[in-house]
Amino acid sequence: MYIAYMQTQNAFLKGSISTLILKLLKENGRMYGYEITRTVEELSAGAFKITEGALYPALHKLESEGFVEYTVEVVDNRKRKYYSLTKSGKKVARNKMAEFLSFFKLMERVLQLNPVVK
Amino acid sequence: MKLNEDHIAALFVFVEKKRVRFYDLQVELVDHLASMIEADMEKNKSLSFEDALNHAYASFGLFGFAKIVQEKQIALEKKYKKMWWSHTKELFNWPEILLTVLIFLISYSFVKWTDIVTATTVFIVVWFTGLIYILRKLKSPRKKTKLLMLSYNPPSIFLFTWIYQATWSLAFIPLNSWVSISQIFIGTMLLLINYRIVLKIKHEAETMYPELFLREV
Repeated sequence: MYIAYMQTQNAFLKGSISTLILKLLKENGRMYGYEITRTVEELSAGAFKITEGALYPALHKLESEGFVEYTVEVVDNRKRKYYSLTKSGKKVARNKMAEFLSFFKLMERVLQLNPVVK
Repeated sequence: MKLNEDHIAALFVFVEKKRVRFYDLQVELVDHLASMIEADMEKNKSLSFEDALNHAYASFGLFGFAKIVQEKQIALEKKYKKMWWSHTKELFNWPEILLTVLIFLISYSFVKWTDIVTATTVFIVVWFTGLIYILRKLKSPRKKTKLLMLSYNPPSIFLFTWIYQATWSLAFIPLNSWVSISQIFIGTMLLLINYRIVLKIKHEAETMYPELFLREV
């Protein structure tokens, strides 16, 4: 029962990974990959586990769209890529969060069978 | 506990064994694996490096690294296409449009002051030399170490000239001076745009991974 619940949650999570990344980068300035997955896990008290196979494609896509940029630094015997928002990334972060919230409100209405009266 | 250089080297070997051949991708994955391993070994002091590594790799999901490599290639292609369009747009906006007009005037003058045959022949030689020069800038700095970000394919650059030629003339040389002028103009613009993009990519690669570009003494 619990496992099925977790699986549904992950299905919802899938579509919102870029929104999550944008929000986290907006709040924290710059982060590296592992830091992002760890923060999401911590903030959701372990409920949201973003697999690396889902995180990096989302990050790279945001980079290809010009919303995110990176720098490379040497940390603890290895190189680390730090991601941060570009100017257009900061704009998109705001928009995506607003979109997500209005989607959520609408879903809530629909699920409660309250039709939107025009 | 923090991993030492031997551990990191082992991670690079591991990632290479899992078919990730590009240095820029390897760096990212190695750091992620290392961070996970350090966190796990911190929590569980008796955990071995190998076990921690296997556990970390398992959390990459069913496809392991394969999906990440594929998606990165797609994302990079998209990024370079965007760059191509934004560079092209710049050349038709102020102030770069002055450069565009200059190139056109030079193309025009060149054809009018010589003749179609000379102009086209010289242009083709210069153009191919320029193209080879640009493509050489994208060569891997070291034989064994490839960077994914250097895999830039100048869009349609070959296709352009030969299709253009084929539609306007049966022979190698265009029959009409305006065809020649526009060919030289468009060809030069293509070369300029690709040259600028390649310079940017090369600069980014040298900035992010200077260790690959050090001259071997």
